[in-house]
Amino acid sequence: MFHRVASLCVVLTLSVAAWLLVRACTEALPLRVVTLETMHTYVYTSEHETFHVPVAMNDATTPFAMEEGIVRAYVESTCQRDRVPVTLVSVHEEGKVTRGDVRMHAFSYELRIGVVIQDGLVAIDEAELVLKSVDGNALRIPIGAFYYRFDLSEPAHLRLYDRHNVHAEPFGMPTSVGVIFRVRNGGDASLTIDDVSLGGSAVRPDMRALRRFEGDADPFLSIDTLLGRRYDALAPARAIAVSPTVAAGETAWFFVPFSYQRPLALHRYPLIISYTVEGETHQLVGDDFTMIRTPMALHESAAHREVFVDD
Amino acid sequence: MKKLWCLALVALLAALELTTVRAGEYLTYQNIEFVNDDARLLRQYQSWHYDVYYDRLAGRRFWGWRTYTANDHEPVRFQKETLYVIENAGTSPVHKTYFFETTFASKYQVSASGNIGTSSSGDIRGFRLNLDAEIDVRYARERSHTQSEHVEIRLQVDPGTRLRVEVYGEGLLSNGVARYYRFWRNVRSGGWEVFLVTTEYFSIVKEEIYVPPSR
Repeated sequence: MFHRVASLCVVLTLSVAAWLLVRACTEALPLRVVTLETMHTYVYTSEHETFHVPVAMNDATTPFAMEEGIVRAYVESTCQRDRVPVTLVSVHEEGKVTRGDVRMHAFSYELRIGVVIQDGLVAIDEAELVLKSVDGNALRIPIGAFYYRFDLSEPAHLRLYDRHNVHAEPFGMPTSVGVIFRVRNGGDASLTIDDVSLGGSAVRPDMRALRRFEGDADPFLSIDTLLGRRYDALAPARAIAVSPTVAAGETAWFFVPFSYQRPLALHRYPLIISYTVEGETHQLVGDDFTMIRTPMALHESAAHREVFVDD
Repeated sequence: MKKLWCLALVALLAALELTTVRAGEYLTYQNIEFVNDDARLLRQYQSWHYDVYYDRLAGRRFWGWRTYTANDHEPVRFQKETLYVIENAGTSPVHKTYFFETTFASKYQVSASGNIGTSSSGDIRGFRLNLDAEIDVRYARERSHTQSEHVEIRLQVDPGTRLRVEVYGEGLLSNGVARYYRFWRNVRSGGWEVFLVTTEYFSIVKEEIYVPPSR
């Protein structure tokens, strides 16, 4: 009888000790969050539209890994001058990933913009997603640049036809480095293309390099081949030298490379074309569309950022 | 004579089993091409490929697999599918916001030929008899990833035009042959293949199907 009680006591003591040890080790680990700085650039077209912020975390049990654990979310400039409320729609679990030697959990925050500014624009060049948890902690995730445009011009003259993304890996993972697009002048007068924008300044088309495109728009065309020289993603964007003309009824292909202000990922973007017809300037806003999908965990990119949070 | 016919039939069945590939979803893609021209898919192996690769396997073993990797993490490009088609056969432009849901699965997919079996545990598919542990699929397995997205896009589709959203992509593919031994006796042999989608690319294509009379 004594032996049984003694054995039980030893087992109980060891179990409690092991539990305390595991708990102490778990508590000692700070929350590690890996994110990918991205150019988030969207055109508001519906109250249902959402955008995603992918992250990898070393703890799947933190309140920041579940919808019910997050009570508030907003996008804020790093200097905390501009703030835009966003609604957390859901937290998607996207599998497990290995970064270095650490096994992490991949998540994606699906968010919806919380304001509508009639004919306005939200522009935050260096943005953070701020999440507040039920236990009163805050998580600030650097997300890159954040632009939201609220007017979708659909003028009668110019129509946007094809959009083929040109991609490369200037910062270690696939990102958009240019676009081949086809437009049709559906009006009765010729027009000139003056500018092309992606909705923000963090990545801009290098308009001096805009040119007519001939050939097949193969999705695997090399940016170096298209340019006829080595592509430099961080070379500054230049203004247009001569605005190309598109005659009435003409369909024309163009190619333009992108210039990055800093290492970012660009996977989804609108195409905003400014043009002049009969002395009046207009804008054609092609809605944002996802042109690249790649798990951030597959790559080592200069656009990756790590955040550590101590409870 | 009967024996000869039986032998011929067995040989034919064996040959059929050797070249029939039980395929992963990636083999349904519209087009797959290797960046390196020398690489090939398992389903493109000829019987002489098997002969050459089996010769490169190490000797018999008491129990377990012997494997040979012919193509190791070869980069591939593919055209996956046409995701969406919108056609305007009317006479006035359509301005509409379209919603669709897409799933990007960067899961590792497997194919096998001969009597190498595949198995599935949950939504992860692998090889039977732990062949996965013998071939280097760690890279692919540790990067398995699924991503769902509600896509919303406002589009203007002119009369007489058809709009398509095409999906292309890149991935990594490894394949080779393997033999399984029990008591030094070869009981299973065939080809194996592992594929991982790394990136998907989208293109919006608008084509004219006819010229409407108003134009």
